Amino acid sequence: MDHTLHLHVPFESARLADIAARALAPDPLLRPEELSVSFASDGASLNIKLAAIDARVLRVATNSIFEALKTVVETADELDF
Amino acid sequence: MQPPTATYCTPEGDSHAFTVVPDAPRYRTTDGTTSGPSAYVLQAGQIDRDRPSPPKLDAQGEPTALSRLRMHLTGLQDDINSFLTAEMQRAKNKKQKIDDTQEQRATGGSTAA
Repeated sequence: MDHTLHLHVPFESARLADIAARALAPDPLLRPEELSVSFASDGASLNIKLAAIDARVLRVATNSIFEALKTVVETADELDF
Repeated sequence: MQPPTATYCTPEGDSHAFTVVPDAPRYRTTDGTTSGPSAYVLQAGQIDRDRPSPPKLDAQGEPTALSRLRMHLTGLQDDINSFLTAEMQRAKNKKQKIDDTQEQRATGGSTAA
């Protein structure tokens, strides 16, 4: 799996970055032999690392994670975290 | 709060960095160009019921920090989607070229025989 993407997302606080990491992490991978994903908070930043077998798998996974991440951010915004 | 960033690395060891330009229009909207229904589907009459909500505004009428982040993520998502789509096409063209070469060799071999 040598197509990799590292996403670095700064938040306003370490608490928000941790909430985002924990909200995103539980989603299971359908094809772990084709894709690996990790979520970690580092202070006020969320770091997401993806590794896939090709650009197509990476694109599908990245797009899905962005949609989930935007939902987490929007939810936090609506709840005034 | 700094904007999000991303880095893509190819199997050949090349890398491509994605950065947000906060003032550019593509990073000031929650409506992405590469997510949601295609123009073809919309023209066929489908109603986009999952359209992203607009950014939330504060008392001064400015987007909240989290809404700015959501807009930045939307633009970054478009950048990465477009880039990886081009990568997919490049890989497809490369494979086609290899297949064509192998076919030519096979055809040439059978002709010679």
